[in-house]
Amino acid sequence: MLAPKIAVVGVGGAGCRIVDSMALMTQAGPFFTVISTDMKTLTACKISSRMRIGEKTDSFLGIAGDPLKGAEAANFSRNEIKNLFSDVDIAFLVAGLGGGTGSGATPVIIDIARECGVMTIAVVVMPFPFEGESKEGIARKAFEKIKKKADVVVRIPNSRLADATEGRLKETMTAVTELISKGICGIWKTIAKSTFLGFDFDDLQAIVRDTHGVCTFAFGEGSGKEKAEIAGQALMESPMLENGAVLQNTSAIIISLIGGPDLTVSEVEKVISIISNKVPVQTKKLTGVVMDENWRNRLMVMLMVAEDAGNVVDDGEVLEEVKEEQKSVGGKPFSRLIGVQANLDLISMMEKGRFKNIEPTYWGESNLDVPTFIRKKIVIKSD
Amino acid sequence: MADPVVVVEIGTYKTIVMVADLLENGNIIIIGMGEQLSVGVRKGVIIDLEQATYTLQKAINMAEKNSDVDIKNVFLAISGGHIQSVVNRGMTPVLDHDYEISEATIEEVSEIAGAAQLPLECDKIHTIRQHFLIDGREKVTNPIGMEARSLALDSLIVYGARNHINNIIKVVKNIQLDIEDIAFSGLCSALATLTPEQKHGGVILIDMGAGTTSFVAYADNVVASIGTIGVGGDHITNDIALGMNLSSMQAEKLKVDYGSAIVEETDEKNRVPVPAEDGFRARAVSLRNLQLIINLRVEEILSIIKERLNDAKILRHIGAGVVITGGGAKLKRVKDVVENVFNLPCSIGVPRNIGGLSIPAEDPSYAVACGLFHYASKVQGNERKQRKSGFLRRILGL
Repeated sequence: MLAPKIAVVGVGGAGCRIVDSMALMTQAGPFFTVISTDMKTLTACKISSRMRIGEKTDSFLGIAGDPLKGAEAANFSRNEIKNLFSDVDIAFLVAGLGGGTGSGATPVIIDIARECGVMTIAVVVMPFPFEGESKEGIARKAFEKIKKKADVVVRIPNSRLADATEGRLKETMTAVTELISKGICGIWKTIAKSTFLGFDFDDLQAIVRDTHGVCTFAFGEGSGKEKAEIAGQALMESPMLENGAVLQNTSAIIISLIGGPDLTVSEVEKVISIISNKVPVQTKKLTGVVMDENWRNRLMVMLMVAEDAGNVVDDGEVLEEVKEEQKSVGGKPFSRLIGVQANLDLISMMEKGRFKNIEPTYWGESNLDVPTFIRKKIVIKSD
Repeated sequence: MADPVVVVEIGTYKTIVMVADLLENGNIIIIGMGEQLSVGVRKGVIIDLEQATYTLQKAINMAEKNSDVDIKNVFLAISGGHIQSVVNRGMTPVLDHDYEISEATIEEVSEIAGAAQLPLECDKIHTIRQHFLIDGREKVTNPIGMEARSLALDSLIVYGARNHINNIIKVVKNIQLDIEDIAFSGLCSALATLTPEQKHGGVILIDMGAGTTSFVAYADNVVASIGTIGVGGDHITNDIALGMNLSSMQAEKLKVDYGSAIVEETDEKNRVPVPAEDGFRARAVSLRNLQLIINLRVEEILSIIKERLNDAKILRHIGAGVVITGGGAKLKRVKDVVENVFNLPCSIGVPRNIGGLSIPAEDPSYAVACGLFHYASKVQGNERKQRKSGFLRRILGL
């Protein structure tokens, strides 16, 4: 079975920086690309696939932190963005929220990706509290939009990490980059390369559909004879999990373990049991184990944990907003359009319209009720 | 003269009731008709019994009024993606005097050939005779009186899901009408539109309706294979609605007014108007996109049929080409797509040998309903033969 094609896309200043670092640390694998309105950001990146969106302007000032302009820019460059997603199955979209491009363009880019039948996993970084209320407001609004559109949102609150690094800015930034890199890495490696235990695109999609909410990343590493215990402990102590509190109420988790050829079954069991002990019995679990030829005496475990929308809310006001928006879309979660390779079974779809609630027509593994142009991944350019 | 015959087709798009006189010479004269847009039918199956019944009642009333006939029993067409066929062979030793095959032996082998093991919850709709085999070698159409040690018969069994078949029957019974016989809609289209020459040369009939697309393949003058897929014109409309962000009604109108199965328009800027509807605003949309979406879907449907015929090893026997009928045959340039996919000549099939009301005679969407009359004619013909010679059951040579 062919592996799904994965893209990692950085949007906006923070997103581009993070994805740029990630690309340098990763060998073959996902397709990395950066998108921004700002030439300066793009020229600072080392990866070759760079896209500038929005109308050409003479100045290099970017869009001065205006999310509306960010959205406009993405709309302006719709066709180029569509081409980017034309052959992709899963896209990780990385962005820092609070500014212009990240907050404004990302929701639009996710829409475009959806139109192309891509599964979208948004990884967003929330601003520090000290960055001010206006940024926080922009970030919150963007986050709500992204939450509605993307299949999954992974939320990285800078504040959680800042506690751990005692507020040293540079180290926090590095920690964020590392966290996101490792989190995304865990997922894509498992889908692409897992050997004796793994999950595939189907499983990921099923659990994504079930959680349909907000997630967080966490990881732990270890080496030496006790690497399993060390990695497991480190994971549990990760600031992202708030001392395990996040795990207590989670509905679903995705565990990715990466080790070398010396990885033993008991080590895998140890790590998984450390995690399992901290989550409720009915939590859905997806586990993948990857053996990396080049790793020796090293074990890393990544966790993607679903957080209930309610728990993540910062204040009552946002909760109201969320409820309002849900009402206006009929109170039902959006179904997702996901294009897959021909031999993978198809999933949920946008409003089936005429064929809602009717037994679907199957030809082999293809659901023929889904439009042909979608299953053949032909992009219909919008008028 | 015999009583007029009444036929009923409950399609996904329209429900038709037609009344006709079947003359002894084989001519069919339509004397009345009732038609309504169907409600509660999707992909050829009933999803809302009440609404479908109400619609049929209206159509029956209309037909009774303008034919001046009191409708009591009808021939009913059965549709749906669940309908399939299988070939079953029966064999029997010839124990007649001097090894001359008698009617009794023919009846015996016919029964054996017709006794196919069907999937769970499926019922037989037709048993269609293909060829007899004398001593396992020679293919004959009528073996009576011939000398042989064994007689075999290949029968094409057409069957479908019990619940779907029963639901359509229920709609008719709900109005206190009796059902004379049921017939597979695709077979009816074939009876209505194909010529003896085409059947002789080997032909594929494709009936593209709103809910389903059926195919009937003739090879060597017998029905070689039959099948249906639960994909039809509605899927084309749905693809358009989703691909171009339009309401179902806007999409349907666009398909009918400007649709084409071939992408003719190379200029992306060429636009066609769409009126406002259903909360969707009025717009101008790309003609090219429309044609592309339609082309992909139509080609896919035809490719699936081709694959199925390939699997049944039938394509090599098709000399006369492909005939396309049903509402889908009215799509501009659909013939070209058929020819591209099958590499065979294609023509549009319209009901033949139909007199009386002119509307159905040239419109492929009436192929099924007209075909029911041809079917009725055959059944009644067989019954007359049966009364005369007393042995034929409901086994048809078509």
